[in-house]
Amino acid sequence: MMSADLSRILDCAQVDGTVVTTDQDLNDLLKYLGDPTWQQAITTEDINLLTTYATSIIKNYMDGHSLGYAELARRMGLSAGRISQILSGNEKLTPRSLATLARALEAHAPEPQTNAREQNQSNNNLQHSNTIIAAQQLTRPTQASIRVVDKALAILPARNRSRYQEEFGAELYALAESKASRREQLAHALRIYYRAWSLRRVLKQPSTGDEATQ
Amino acid sequence: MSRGAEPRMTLPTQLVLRAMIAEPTRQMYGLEIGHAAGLASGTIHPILARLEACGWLESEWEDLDPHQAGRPRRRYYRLTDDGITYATRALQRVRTPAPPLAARLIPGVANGCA
Repeated sequence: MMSADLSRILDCAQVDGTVVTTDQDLNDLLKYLGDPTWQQAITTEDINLLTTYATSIIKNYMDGHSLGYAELARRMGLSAGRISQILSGNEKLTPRSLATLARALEAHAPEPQTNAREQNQSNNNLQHSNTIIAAQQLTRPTQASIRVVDKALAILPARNRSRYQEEFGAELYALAESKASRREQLAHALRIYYRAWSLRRVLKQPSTGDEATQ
Repeated sequence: MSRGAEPRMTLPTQLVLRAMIAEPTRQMYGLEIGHAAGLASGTIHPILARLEACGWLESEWEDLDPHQAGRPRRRYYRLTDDGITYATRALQRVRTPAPPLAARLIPGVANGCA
């Protein structure tokens, strides 16, 4: 279903506990989005999964390269508000719109300094949010990570959901308590999401599901 | 997968088992196991479910009132007695390097008498 390439991208390199999306990660994502075999084989679930992942990778990349919504919007010929909406994860994207979005990032500006006004306008800007979160002494998991884990739970067989809801939830709380950044929490949730299909396969095997419902 | 069948010894599975065998009586929850195994967090649940289905691992809820604590209970995993035996054996087997090609092609080389 998912290629090893995408899996690698989504497991983003972790440097000093910070998830980093590199140029290579982005190029791999672009290659993947442009692959016609993937576009033909994709299911609705794949699109949901990929949307979550791709928007996360792209946001991460924008953050790492100080590329603001305004600049990305300019390249795509859309408004900054629309970009923010697309990257909020609330919108189901088609492979084509994801590819367009990714292409807009291909040649990032050499000096992509966003000004303070853009930063303030970008409510979803991760760097901006991280500053706020750090000040708030985060102890509860972020809403984004909870939402992604909820999506992962929906992939699992119904009878196993309550167990994993609690198990995954406890891990998110532990991460939040250990002061994991917003991005680390999201990356953790995304990995759970990505592996939910494998977990589902194991749980669907005879004799497995029973003990996993307890 | 039926109980008692051996799981596929993929590299992540080996890492999880090695981490758990290092402290066979210790109960660990998912994040701790992933950390001990050197795997990215959030990636090990399919492995744990598979090992549990094989009877190599058992798990139980943390003894905690989630309402009082304000957070969900952790799920703690531990190797079963069977798990310790079979996992040790399986890990030794995958660790054993293949004999040199020559030893397999030319009888006698392996005994040093070719």
